[in-house]
Amino acid sequence: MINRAANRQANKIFLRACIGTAIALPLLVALPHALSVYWQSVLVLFTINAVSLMGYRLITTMGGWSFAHISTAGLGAYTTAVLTTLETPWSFWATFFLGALIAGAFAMIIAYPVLRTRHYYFFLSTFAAGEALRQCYVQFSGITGGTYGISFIPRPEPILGMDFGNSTGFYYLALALAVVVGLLLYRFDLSRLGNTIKAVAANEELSESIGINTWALRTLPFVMGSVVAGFSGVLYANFNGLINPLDFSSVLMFKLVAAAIVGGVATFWGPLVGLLYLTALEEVFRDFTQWIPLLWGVSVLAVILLAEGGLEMVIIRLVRRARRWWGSPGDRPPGGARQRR
Amino acid sequence: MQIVANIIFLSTFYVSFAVGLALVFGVMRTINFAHGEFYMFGGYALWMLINAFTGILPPGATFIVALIVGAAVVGILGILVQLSIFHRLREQPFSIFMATLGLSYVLQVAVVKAIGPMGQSVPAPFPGFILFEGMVLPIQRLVVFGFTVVMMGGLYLFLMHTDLGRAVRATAQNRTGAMLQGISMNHIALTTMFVGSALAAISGVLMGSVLIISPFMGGEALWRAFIIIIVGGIGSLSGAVVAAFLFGIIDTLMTTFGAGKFAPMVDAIIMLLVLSFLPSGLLGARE
Amino acid sequence: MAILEVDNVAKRFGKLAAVKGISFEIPEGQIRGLIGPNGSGKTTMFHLISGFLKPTSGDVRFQGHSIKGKRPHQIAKRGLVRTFQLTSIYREMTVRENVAMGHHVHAGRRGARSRPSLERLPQFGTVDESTEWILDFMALSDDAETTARLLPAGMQRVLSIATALAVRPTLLMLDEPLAGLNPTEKISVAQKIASLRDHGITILLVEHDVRSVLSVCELITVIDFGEKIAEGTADEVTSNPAVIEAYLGKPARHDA
Repeated sequence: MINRAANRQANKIFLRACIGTAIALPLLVALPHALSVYWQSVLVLFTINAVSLMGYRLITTMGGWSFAHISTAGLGAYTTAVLTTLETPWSFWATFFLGALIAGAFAMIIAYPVLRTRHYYFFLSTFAAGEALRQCYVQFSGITGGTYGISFIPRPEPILGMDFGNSTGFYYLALALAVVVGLLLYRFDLSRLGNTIKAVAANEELSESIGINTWALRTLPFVMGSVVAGFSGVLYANFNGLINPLDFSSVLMFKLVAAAIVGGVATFWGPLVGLLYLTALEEVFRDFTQWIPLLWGVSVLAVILLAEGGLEMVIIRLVRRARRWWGSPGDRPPGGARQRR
Repeated sequence: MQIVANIIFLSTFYVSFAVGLALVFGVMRTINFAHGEFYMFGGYALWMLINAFTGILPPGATFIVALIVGAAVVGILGILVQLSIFHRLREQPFSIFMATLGLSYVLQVAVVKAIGPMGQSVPAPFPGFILFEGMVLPIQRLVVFGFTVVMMGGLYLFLMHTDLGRAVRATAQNRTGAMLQGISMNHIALTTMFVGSALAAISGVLMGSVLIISPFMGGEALWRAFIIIIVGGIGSLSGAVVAAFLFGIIDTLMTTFGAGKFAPMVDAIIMLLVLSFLPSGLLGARE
Repeated sequence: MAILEVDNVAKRFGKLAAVKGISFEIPEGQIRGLIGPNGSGKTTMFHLISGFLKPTSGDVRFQGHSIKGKRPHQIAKRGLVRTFQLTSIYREMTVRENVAMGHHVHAGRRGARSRPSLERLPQFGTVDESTEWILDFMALSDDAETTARLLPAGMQRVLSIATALAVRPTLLMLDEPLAGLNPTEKISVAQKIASLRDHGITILLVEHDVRSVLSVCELITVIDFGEKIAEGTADEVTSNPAVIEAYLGKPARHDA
């Protein structure tokens, strides 16, 4: 049986997002030309983090907040770092996909134990698994360079005349990935499968009883989100040129989690709003680097205690109020089953 | 024989850290992520008091003072956290968990800014060694071991033989049942947070006397504690003790045989295996 | 032919024997009641049949095939669907979204999965039409756009049955469908259950309260202490001394 009404609705929303992207794209393409070199690199890192965060948000739709996401991204980073710095180096483009694949494979392996846990229990088990993976980066120094990491990671070789050696060129690569991943994941979020995943998160027992393979539908977003993390890790390594285990430490994981909390995860855009906020905070206080985790922590506390649901809910409420003010009927906020925290 | 001594020293460390976390979890049904920072505060309490009282008090006496002061101050901090976070977010365990995660970074950075990111160490308050049956036993280690045993004994007496402790246990086992018997949840939550936080601080003072004290010591201890309480069975105090000894043995043996750097990985793999085949842990209650 | 055969099923939790070798069969098209005092093992029995628990020994056959050890979603896909004692719904979805979600096993394929015994249920090509029909049938149409958690308890119970119905079960197992409802709601839900049977669905329902099921069930199986103590029509069961003792003999056990 086909659910025509829901399909039509999803297609309509997705079309609107595509049009929005198409309108925004020229602006995004022009953006680096208006920025200094410093801000260009901030922009690239923001885009890479945004990709990682879109994968993270997908994982949260199944009801689990992973704390292994950044270590998983590290698998992508180390894959490309190791293989492109060999004596006979691999092509970046081969490692690009291989890195994502390895990250996905790791998620698949740990899925069996960690997906047996729920809520904060899931968070703890992924925390431990992720930390163990990070320890591998430190300890298997023959491959990973230990605490010093790997340096002289080359930028991607040019394709179609695109040069990725400078920040602007690399930004276009990151932007292309962000747009492709973003649109794919957004359509997935709206799809029947995406809604079924949220239904499993909302009520696992009921879902199982109406014939939903809840195990598969918890594993799928976890693995997909980790593949996306792998892509972001590959780009991070190639952009930075050097990586070490500290690039995948729990403080940076906390940044992703904080973005998801501060922005909210009910809508697709929530975490990105959160990331924008955290990045802005980081740049405003860039002369006080040591204080930044504290500012993130305070933001998380403030949102949890004062603005339940995150900035996205604040925005949705404001939009609704504005609409009422103008007398037009308010839409229901997107996203089918909103999960409870 | 030295191995046995090392196992016991390491295990008591794991026990003293993980038990407070498990206690708080049992009653509050959520993890206090800032537990590691409370432990770190214990370490700094010792460091500050030793610095302040050098030449005024004998170091051994300062050590005892640090235990008391650290436990009291951090216990009160636990009460503040209970009032400001746990109570406001009651019935939302996941929000509490995330809020304490945020708090842990706030506290960590506060210490980095106030004291500095560098590790500190204090001279052993009880210096010297005992040679016994071929074992080298630093006296400070023995003192730490002794105090951990006293601490565990005190906790046991509190939980088993006082009305308040019995109420705490009743709440951990069956929240609704406890409420029906007229036990005040607020009261129990405050008690648990005070005791759990004080235990973290005591553990911090004890370990601060033998390890490096740094703003990041809490985070490092915390992830090992997660593994311990997951393997032991979340919320089970006896499970935490058993798992602490299990990992004490494994980690000591690995260190002894030159594979110490792989211990964190092996521990995590053990945790993943336990989750695969015994999802509720060694001694955890069936869900 | 029996649609469900429960063959000497037992379940132990450690040292505790919750179900001690129970057998019964349900013929196609029957409304069967499974009753017993609190703690007698009926909910455990329900979990054992629907796959949420695995029997320690014995076998469960559905339409002649063993379903022992199958996962709940696999069993549901075959057409054996259960509801839960504490009403289970997607609280944040609308009533319509709940029922549409119930179509999961049929969605994305051409037509519904075939269920020979269900020819009396109307056939639909799309989830929308089927959802509409179910909402209408269960008298939920007026509340179709209401968020499920805002419904009164009785309506939530009806919604959980409607969602189960969307799977197009051949055997529908209802866990205490009448408990906690007011008398008017009880009558209306009981009528719905009877009419589901008229549409060709076999029904097994668990109840704690004997009186409320007597009028609905054609045959009643009584269990106590994990064992079957009686089976028969309403009149036979209510006059059975073992049943009377189970319910009246030890009133102290009702606090379980």
